Amino acid sequence: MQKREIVARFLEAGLLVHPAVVTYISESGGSGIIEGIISSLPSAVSVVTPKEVPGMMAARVDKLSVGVSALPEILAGREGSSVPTANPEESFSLFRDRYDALAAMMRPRVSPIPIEALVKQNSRFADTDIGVIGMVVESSTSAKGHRIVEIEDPTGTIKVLFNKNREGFDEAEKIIPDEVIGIRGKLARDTGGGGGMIFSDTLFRPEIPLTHTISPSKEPGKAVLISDVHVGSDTFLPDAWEKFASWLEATPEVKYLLIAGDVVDGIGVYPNQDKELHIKTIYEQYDAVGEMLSALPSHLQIVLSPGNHDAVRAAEPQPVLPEEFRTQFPSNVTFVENPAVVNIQSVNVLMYHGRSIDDLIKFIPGASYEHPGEIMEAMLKRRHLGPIYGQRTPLLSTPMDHLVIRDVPDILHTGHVHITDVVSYRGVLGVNAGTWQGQTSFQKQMNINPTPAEAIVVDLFTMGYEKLCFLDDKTFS
Amino acid sequence: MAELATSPRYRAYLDHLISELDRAMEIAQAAKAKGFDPRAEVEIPIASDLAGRVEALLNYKGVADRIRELEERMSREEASLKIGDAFVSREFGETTREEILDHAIRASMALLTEGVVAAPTEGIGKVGIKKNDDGSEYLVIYYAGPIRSAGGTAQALSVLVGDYVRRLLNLDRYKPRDEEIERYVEELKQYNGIQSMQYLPKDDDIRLIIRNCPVCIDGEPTEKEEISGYRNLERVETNVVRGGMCLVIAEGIGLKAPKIQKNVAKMHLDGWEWLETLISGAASTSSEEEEPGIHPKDKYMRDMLAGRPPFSYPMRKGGFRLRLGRGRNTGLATCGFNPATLHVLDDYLAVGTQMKVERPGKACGVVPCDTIEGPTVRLTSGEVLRIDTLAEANRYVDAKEIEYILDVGEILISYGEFLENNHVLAPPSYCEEWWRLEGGLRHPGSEAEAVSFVAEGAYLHPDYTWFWDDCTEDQIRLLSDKVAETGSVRDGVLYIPADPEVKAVLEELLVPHTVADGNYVIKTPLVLIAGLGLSYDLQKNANWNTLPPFTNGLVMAEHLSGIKMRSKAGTRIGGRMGRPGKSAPRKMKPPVHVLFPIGESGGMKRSIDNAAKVCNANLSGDVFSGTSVTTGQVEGMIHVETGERKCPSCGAVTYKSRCPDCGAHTEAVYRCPRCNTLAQPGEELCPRCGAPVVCQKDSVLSLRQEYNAALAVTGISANDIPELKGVRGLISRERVVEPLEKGILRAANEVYVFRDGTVRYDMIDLPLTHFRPAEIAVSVEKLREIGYTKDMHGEELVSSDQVVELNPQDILVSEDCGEYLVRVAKYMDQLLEKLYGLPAFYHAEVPEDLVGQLILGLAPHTSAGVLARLIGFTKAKAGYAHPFYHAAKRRNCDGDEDCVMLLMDGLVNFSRSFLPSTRGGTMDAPLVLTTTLNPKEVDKETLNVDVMDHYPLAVYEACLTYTPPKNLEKVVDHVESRVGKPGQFEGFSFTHDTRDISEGPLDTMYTNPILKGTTDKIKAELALADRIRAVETDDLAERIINSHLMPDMIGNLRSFSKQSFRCPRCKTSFRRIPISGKCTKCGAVLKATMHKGNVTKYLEIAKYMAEHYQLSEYTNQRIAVTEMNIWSTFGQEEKQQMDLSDFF
Repeated sequence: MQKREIVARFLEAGLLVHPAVVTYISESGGSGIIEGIISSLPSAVSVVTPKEVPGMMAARVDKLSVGVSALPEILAGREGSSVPTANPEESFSLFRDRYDALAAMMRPRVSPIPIEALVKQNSRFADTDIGVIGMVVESSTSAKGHRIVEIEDPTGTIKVLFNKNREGFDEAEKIIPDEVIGIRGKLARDTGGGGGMIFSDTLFRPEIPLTHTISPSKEPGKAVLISDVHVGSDTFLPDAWEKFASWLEATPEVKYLLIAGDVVDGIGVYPNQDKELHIKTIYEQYDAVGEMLSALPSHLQIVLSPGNHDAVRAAEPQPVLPEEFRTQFPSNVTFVENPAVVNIQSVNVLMYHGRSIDDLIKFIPGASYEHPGEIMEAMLKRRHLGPIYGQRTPLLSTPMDHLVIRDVPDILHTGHVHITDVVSYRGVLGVNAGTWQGQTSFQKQMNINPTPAEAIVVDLFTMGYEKLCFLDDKTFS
Repeated sequence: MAELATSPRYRAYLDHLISELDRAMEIAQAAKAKGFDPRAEVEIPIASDLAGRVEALLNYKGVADRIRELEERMSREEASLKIGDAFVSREFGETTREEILDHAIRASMALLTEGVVAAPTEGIGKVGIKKNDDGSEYLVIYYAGPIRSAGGTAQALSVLVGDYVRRLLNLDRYKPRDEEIERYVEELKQYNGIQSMQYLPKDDDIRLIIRNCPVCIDGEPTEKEEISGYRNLERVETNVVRGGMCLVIAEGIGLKAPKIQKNVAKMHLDGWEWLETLISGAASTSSEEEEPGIHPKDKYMRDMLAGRPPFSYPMRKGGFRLRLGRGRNTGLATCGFNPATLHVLDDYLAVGTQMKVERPGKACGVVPCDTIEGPTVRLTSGEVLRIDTLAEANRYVDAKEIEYILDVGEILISYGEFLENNHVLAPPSYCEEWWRLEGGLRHPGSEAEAVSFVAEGAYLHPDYTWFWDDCTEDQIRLLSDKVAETGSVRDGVLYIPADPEVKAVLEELLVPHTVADGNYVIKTPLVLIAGLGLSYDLQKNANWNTLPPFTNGLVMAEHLSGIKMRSKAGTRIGGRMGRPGKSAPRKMKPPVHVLFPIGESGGMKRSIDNAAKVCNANLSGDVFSGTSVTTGQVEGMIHVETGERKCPSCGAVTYKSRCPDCGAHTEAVYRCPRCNTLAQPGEELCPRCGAPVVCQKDSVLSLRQEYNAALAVTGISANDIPELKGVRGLISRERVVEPLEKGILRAANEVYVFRDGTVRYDMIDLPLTHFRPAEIAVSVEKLREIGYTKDMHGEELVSSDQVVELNPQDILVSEDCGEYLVRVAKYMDQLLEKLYGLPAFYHAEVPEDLVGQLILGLAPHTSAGVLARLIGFTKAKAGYAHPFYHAAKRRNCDGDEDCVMLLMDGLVNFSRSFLPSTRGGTMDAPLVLTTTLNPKEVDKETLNVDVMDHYPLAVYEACLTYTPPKNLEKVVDHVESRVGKPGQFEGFSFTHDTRDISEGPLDTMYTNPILKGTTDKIKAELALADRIRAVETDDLAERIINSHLMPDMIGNLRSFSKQSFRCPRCKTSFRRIPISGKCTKCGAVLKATMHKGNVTKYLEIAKYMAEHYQLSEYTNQRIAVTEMNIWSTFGQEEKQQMDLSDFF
C-alpha cells in the first residue's frame, strides 16, 4: 500500500501520523489495520505516534541488575572462531547462511515465493501480487532511468524493476550488491522466454524492528570508544594521546576502553609506507602500543579488535592479534576478532573496524566520508556490516557469515574513516570513532579531513554520550 | 599536391614502388571481382600523402585537396583549425550542423595525428548540440576510450577545433551547472582510481577547466563502475565513468595547456585566457631547482620485475660509459653495444631487446656496434682485460673464466637522442674520434708512441688513459708507495708482488694486467708509472712536492705525470633489461585458420574437422548440443549464427558472399530484430520501430558437405593438413564468413588468420640506414636487380662487403619471418589459382624469392598501413627498417613492435566487414595504405636523427659543459635540416660502423627455456648481479621483493578473498558465487579463479632471498607478516614443508 494513501486515510479522520507508523503500516501491508488503529485511539489524540499503535511498542525487557560482572564478556568473535573453509568454492555456504539469516527477518512481512516457482510457473503467478526475497546479483539503470535489479534465492534468479516515478525510488537507488532484500509487487507475464520480471511495489529490508528501544545498564559506569590509533606513523599524535591518558587517570568512572582496530600503522599496508613510518618495524609498533596501554589505569578493561593496518590477515572476519605481538600488552586487555560482540555491564557492543565503509560509500548514492553515521544506519537497515563482495573488503570463505548483524546490538562501534560521527537509529547507538593520527598525505590527496584525537564517552547507565577532544589547542568540548 | 623534393634516382625508386603496387592492385581487383569476399572490390584505399590519408580514413570526398591547399600556406596546427571553414561552408556534402561539427573535428584530429592512429575514427563517439539554461545552444563532444591513441596534444587541440567550428555555426559556449562541475571533479578522481592517469589536475583546476572551457567535454561510458555522488544529472546521459572524457580533461587540457595556449595565440581565439591561470597554477607546484650538470636518476630502476636484471646502477662506476655517435643501426631510441658486452652480460640483452636507461630517454632498443669498447673483466686467474670481440667473449664465457665484470663497456648514443629528449649533453668517454679532432695524428702503435704524441701537444690517447678519476687520493698514494717499494721493471714490463690492496686499485684504474709467479704483470706501464708520480726507475718524482690539494684523481695523475689527459670514465649511464624482443606469427587465442563460425561444436580447439563429424538429433530445438555419432543421424549438421545475405540476381538467401546458385556477389540484408522489418541500405534504425537493425541469421548448415566441397576446390585431402580451426562466433556487424577454402589453404601452409582476414607476422622494430649485402642474406646480383647499384660512396656495388644506403621504404625482416612469408606467399598463390582462378603471383620457394616484393606494415593502435619493399633478411629477431618507415607507423625503436603482411594478402583478404562493431574495432586494421613516405608527414621524432659521418669538435666541447643540444642544431646535420630538399631521402651517413647488424645474442636469456619459472629467473638474475661491479645485489634483491614479489603476493592474497568464479561448462563468470554454489545458467558446479598456488608461488623464493641477502628489517618483517597472513587465510601451514634445497 502506498504511503501517500496511508497518510490520506488518517487525514480523512482528522489525524496527523508519525512517519514510523506509516512505514509500519506500509510494511505490514494491510490497510485493514488502519481502521482498527483509528477506532482504538483515545479521543485527545491528534497525532498518531508508535505509542498509539498496538504491537508497535514491545514491552520493555529490563536488564538484569544482579550478578553483572565487570569483565567484558565476548558474545561473538572469540579467538579462533573464524576458520576458513578448505576450498574457496565452499564460500557459497557463507552466502547461503547470509540469505537464510536475513530472509528469516523479513519472511513474515514479505511472504516470499521461491523464485524458481515464479519463473517456471509464470502463468500461474503472472499479474498477481507476489512477494520474493533475494540476494542482489547486480543492479543497473535502464535506458529510461528505472532501476533494474537482479536477485537470487537458492532456487533461481529473477529481475526486479523499480519504477523511477514511484514512491520509494530513492531507496531502490540505494540497493547495493549482495544485500538481501524483500520485494512485494506484480509478476509480469513472460512473453519473451526470459523468465519474466517483477514490478516492485514495496521494498523491504531486514531492518531494526520498530519495536526496538534503548536498554541501558542497571549499573553506573562509562565506556570510552576509540579507534585508529596508528602508532608508528609519523602523523601519530603522541601529545594528544598523553592528554587522553591523563584524563583517563583523572576519571575513575570510566571502566572500559574499546578500540575498534588499527592500533598500529603496520608495515607494507600501502606502497612506500616505510617513508611515512616513525617506527619501521611491526614488533616495535606493537611494543609501543603495549607500553601506552600499560600506562593507563589498571582498573580499566580494554577491548581490542584488529583493523586493516594490523598484522593479521586482511580477509574478514579478521583473527585476534597473534600472541607474538602482545608481549608488552598489560593483562587487562581482551583481544577479540573483527567483528566481535562484547557485553559490558549487560550492554552489547558490536565492534567492527569498518573496512566495508569504503565500499558502501562508493555504492550508496549521496554517502560520503564526512558522514559515516549514515553508513552505520545503512548497515543496521541491512543487518549486515559489509554486504558488498569483491570490492575493497576481502571476505574469508567461512561456513557462516560473521558479518550478519544477528541480534540487535545496543551500540555499534566502528572506525576506519578517521572521522567521528554518532547516530541513534531505532534505539541503537552508532559510534564511528575518529583517529589519533593527523591528516596523511593520502587523505590530503583525497580531500578527506579527519577529526583527530576525539573520544566518545558513553554513559552505560543512561546511554547518553559525549564527545571529547584531546588536541593540544582545544579544550574539552 | 606539392611535388616531393627528390633526386631523379629516388623518384625512379618511388615510381617503381607505385607501378608494382598498381600491378598488384589489378590482380587483387580481379580476384575480388569473383565475389568470394564480402565486397567485390579491394577495401584498402590508397593514399599518397597525409591529406589523402585523412580523406581515405574518414571518407569525406574532396577534403584532401582542401588540406593540401591549406598546408601550402600555413602550419599543420593552423590548417587543422582552418579546415573547419570548409566544413561549415558545406563543401563536402554535410547536411546537418551536427554532421558539420562531427566531420570537422574528426578531420582536424586526423590531420594532427598524421592520419595514422585510430583516434579520429574511434576516439570520438559522436557530437551533439544541447541547450544552456539561458536557452542558448552549446556543443558537446563525446569522447571514447581510443582517444588515448591521439596523445595529449591532439586531444586538447580537438577541443580547440570544436570551439572554432561552433563559433562559425553561432553556437554559444557551454555554461555548466554547479552540479555538473562537481560531477567532473568526482568522476576524474574515480577514473584515476580505476586506471591511473599520467596526470590528475587538482580539484580547483578541474573546476577552472570546466567552468571556462567553451565546449562541453562529454564521453561514452567506458568503465564498469558508476559514479556514486552526482548521479542522474539531466544533461549527463550516464552515471557510468567516462574514460575518454577524463583523458581529454586531464592528460589533454590539464597537461598540455601551454601547447593549446600557443595555438590559441597563433589563431587569435578569444575566450581561452583562463589557460594562463591554469598554467601558472600548475607551474608553481614543480619548482624543482635545476642544478647544472647531471645527477643519478633511479627512475628506470623502479618497478623492478623479477628476472629482468639491471646491468648498471645510476651513474655507478663500472656502468655503461657514454660514447657519442650514431651507428648505421642506431638512432630513433636505439643504442649500440659491443657484442662482447651483450654476451658477457649472460645474453640478457639480445639484438632487439629493450633496455630501460637512466638517460637521455627512458628506454632504448639494443643493437650491436663492434667499433666501440666492450667490457673489462677479471678472469679467475686474476687477469684483468678488456674484451672487444664476440669471439673472445665466447671463448672466456665458454671456459667459464670470467669471475667479475669490472666495467660493462660503452653505450653508443647519438646526439639526436639528446636532442629528441631535450636532455643536456654529457661528457662522453674519451675516444679516438675525439682525440683526432684535438690533434691526434694517427692511431699509436705502442704506449711509447702514444706518450710521444703528448709531447707534441695532444691529449693522451684513450687506449692508454686509465680511470684515474675513479680513484681517491689514498688509492693513488697507496699504489704509488707499493710500486715504489716493491715493484720492478724488466724489459719494459712492470711487476708488482701480489697484494689485495694493490689489486683493488689496479681494478679501479682498469689497467690491464696478468698474474704470474705471484706478481701482477703490466705490459703497458709507462703512463701508470708516470701517473703515480714515479720515475721510470720507480722513484718518487719532484711533482709530489708541488701537489695541489686533492680535487679529482685525474687532476692528480695529470699533475704527477705531466701528461694531458681526458676522462676515460666520461658519463656513466644506468641500465636494466626492459621488454624482451619478439618475432612471431600473429595468432588469435585460440589460433584459427578461417573466420568461419562453428559455435560450440568445435570444442575448445574450435576444430572444424570435429564439428563436421558432430551429429545432432534435435536441430529444431532452441538448444543445440554436440553429441557423438549415433546411427540414423545426419553427420555434420550444425547450427550457426551468421549474417543474412541475398543474391541480387537470383534472389537466393545465403550466408555466403558469393551466391551458391548463380555465382553473383550477394549483399548483406539488415532487418529489425524486434519486428523483422527490412531496412533499406544505409539505414541503421528500424524504419518502423526505431530499434537498431541487425544482419543476423540462425542457420543450420551441413558443415560436412561444405567442408568436402571446399576440399574438392582446393584439391587437398583433409588428412594432409593440420586440424582446421574456425571461430566460435562472429563479432562483426555484418557477420560475414570467409570461404572455407581460405582456411584449408592456410592450414595446408601452416599460417594463421587475424580477425581482419589477413595473415601477419609481428617483430620488434629496429632502425637501419645502411646495410652490407653480406649481412642480409641476399646476393649482390639480386640487389643490383632491384636497384641497388651503388654503395654509399657512389662506387659500383660489386662486393657483399660494401656499405649501401637503405631506401626509406625498403625493409629487412627476421629470417623466421622470411620463412613464414614464403608460406604466406604459397598460400596466396594457391588461393589465387584454386579459388579465384587466377595465375599465381609470388612463385616463391625460398625467402630470397620474395626479395623485391611489396609488404604492408602496420602498428597496433593505428589504422594506416605503410607500403614497403622487402629486400632482405636478418638473423636478429627483429624488423630492421629505415627510421622514416618506423616513424610513418608512429613507432620509435625502444621496444615497440608491429607487424608486416604480404601486400597481396592484405589487398585480397582484408575486409572492413570482418572487424568487430565494438568500440576500437577498427584499430590495428589497414583502413588506408600510405604509398609514399614524406619526412614532414611522419612522426616528428625522426627529424632528430642525425646523419653525419663525424661530429665537429664543438659537440664534444659542448658535452663537457652540459650544454642543451638545441644550441648545436646548426652544426649537426640531422633530418630536420634536410626536410624539403632532395637530401631528405638520401646521402645520410653514420659515425660508427659495425661488421654485422645481427652480431651478438639473438635470443634473450630471459626467455631461454633453461630458466623454468620465476624462481630460476631470480636466481640467474642475482647470480649475474653478483658478478657486476656496477650492481648492488642486496639492493637488487630488496627491489625485486618490494616491487614484484610482495605486491604480487599481497595483491593475490587480497584478490583471493574477493575472487570471481567461473563455470567450467558454459564459461559464464560470476562476480560472486551464487547462493547455490552452482552455475545459474547451466547448473554445473563452479570453480574458483584464484587458488592457493597463485598466492604462495613467490613465498619460498622471497624467504630464500631474505636468508641469503642483506635486506632491510622492514622488508624482512613484511615477508614474515605476509607469510603469517597467508596461512591465516588458507588454514594452517601444511606439515610436510619442502626443504629449501628442493627449490635450488
